Parts: sequence; C-alpha cells; structure tokens
Amino acid sequence: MLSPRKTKFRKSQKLRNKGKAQRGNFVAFGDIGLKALEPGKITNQQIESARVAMMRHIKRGGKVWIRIFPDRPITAKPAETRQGKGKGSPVGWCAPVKPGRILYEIKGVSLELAKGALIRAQHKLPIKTAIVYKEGL
Amino acid sequence: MSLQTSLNVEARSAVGKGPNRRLRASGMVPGIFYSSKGDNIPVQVPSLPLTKAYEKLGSTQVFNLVVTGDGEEKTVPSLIWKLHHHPFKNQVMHVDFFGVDLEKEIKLVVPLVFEGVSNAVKNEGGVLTVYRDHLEIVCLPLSIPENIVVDVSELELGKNLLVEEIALPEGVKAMYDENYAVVGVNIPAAIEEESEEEGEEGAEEQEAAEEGEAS
Repeated sequence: MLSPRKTKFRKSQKLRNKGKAQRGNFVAFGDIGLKALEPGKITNQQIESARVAMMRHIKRGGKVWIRIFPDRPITAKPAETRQGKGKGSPVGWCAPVKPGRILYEIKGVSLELAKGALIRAQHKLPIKTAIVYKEGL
Repeated sequence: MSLQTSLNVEARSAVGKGPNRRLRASGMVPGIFYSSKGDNIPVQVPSLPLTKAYEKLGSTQVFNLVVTGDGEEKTVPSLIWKLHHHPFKNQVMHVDFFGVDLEKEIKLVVPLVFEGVSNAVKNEGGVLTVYRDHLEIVCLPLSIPENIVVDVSELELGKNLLVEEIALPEGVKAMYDENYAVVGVNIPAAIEEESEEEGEEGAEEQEAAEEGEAS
C-alpha cells in the first residue's frame, strides 16, 4: 500500500479541505480517467483496493496511473477509552481530495474495457466520482 | 479550410470577477480576442454555440469570428486558442480567440494520430510506446492540418520513429531542437530476460565444452 517513506512529524492536524482542485484536474497521461466530484479523504487501503479492482478487470496490458498520494497520517484512539490523555496513535494514511482532482488514469486498453475498470474503482471509493476523457479524444 | 464556419461574439465593456460571474450565470462565456497586430478586445459568447464550434474545429482550424460592438460588425479569421474549463462542472469558464494573419506563418501544436499495427507488435510481442502525442509545427493558418497521421505499421522491434522521419503535409514544418523519438516498439521485460538467460546458458555451455577439449 502507498505510504510516505519518511515524515518529519508522526501526527498531523486535521485541517480543512475547502475549495476546488486547481492542479491535477485534467487527464494528463492516459486516455480516460476518474475525477472526484466532492471533497473527501481517501485512505491508502481504498486507493489500493480500487487499483486492484481495476487491474483484475483489465487482466493484462495497459497502464494505470494513480494521481493521488496518501501523505496525511490518520490517528485514532483505542476503543473504550476516555477522552483526553492526548492525541491518538497513527493508524493509517490518507489523501485529502478536492472536487475536480483526477484520481486514476488508464491508457493502452480499449475505452470500453477501461470504462468498466473505472466503474469497479468507483465502487471502492468513499466519494462521488465521474469518468472523464482526455481532451480531443 | 474551415472559413465557412463562423461564430458570433459580442464585445463587452464590463470586466472583472463580478461581471464575469454574472455573465456565466446567464449562460454566456467571457472571453478575449487578441492578435499579433495588438488588438485586445474583451468579448462574450453564448456557451452552446461555442462548445459546438470547439467540438467541430478544435484549436487547429481557422474560422470566421464575427465581433459585434458599438454598432459595428467585424469579421476576423481566428483560432480558438485556449478554452478554460471548470475543474469539475461541465462548463467553459473562459475562452481565448487568436486572430490570425492568413499570409503569415504561425506556430502551434497539432495532435498526432497513430495508424496501423506493426509486425513487431502483432507477432513478436513488442509493445507500442507513444512518447509524444502532439507535435509543434509552423505553417500558414489555412494549411494547418486537423491532425497528423503517423503510420507505425513498419516499425521494427526495439526501433523508434524520430520526429524527422514523420511525413508532414505540404507547407507544414515541424519545430524541434533535438531530433526526439515520437513512437517506438519496446521489447517487453519478459522477452529481454529470456534472451539474457539464453545468452548466459550459451556462454556456460561453450566454456564447459572448451574445458572438456583442454582436458
């Protein structure tokens, strides 16, 4: 699963996720892609499971680009713990996503097959997404 | 080439964030018309005709732009230079029209279309790899090709097609500093490994035979 190799701090503040994706908002490498339509946090497990779903549908050939990276640590407190006593311990990683952000791109397979793969990826993600094509295609 | 097509736009006096947002809410797209002569006219255009024109012409076909303003009508051969889309809504935010001089060469980028299947891909297990899908060209506005067709049916395994080798329409020149590769047929890693193993095995066998002869 994707995660940073090294970080300066173990835990991060929650931060707000406002606005639209001003970068990474068009299909740049592949012919077809998946675009986020609402803000959210996508965990590295969700990114991986969507990738696996796509690869199993494509079977062989083609290339898949993952355009997001989970670089924000997620923390959680153990079950049945009283509040206080500091921030919880890191349990995973997530990628904050703004609407408009391209999440995945595919090239090298037929558009029909790629569309099928992206529909399978959509089911694995916690936010609303849309399938978009490269400009001029 | 496409000078039969025309698009009507109106000159606008209100500029800035607020007026432009109100324009978009009313179904219009704010834009700008400029040319190498120094014209710089803010314009507004209805969204639907603009989208249809862009689907038909792309950014490589010259058309007649009819600019209306101050009771005057001016027709200028132009290109849709840049279209700015909303990050996630199906909406055009802004458009740039570039007025061209029909007798002066211009520099622009044209998409490449790859045709044919090479024998190396069909029978030898090669993988067609596209390095560039656009080409920068210089030509007269009326001879801009919609796209450039590249025939890849004769590419051999492990060979690349360079920009110099691409057949261009008459009157069109490609712009490049380095003679870069546009497309190639790569040898997949599995085939490469096999050939290396075979090579190593062959060398070992040879060595063993030589040792046997020496003893």
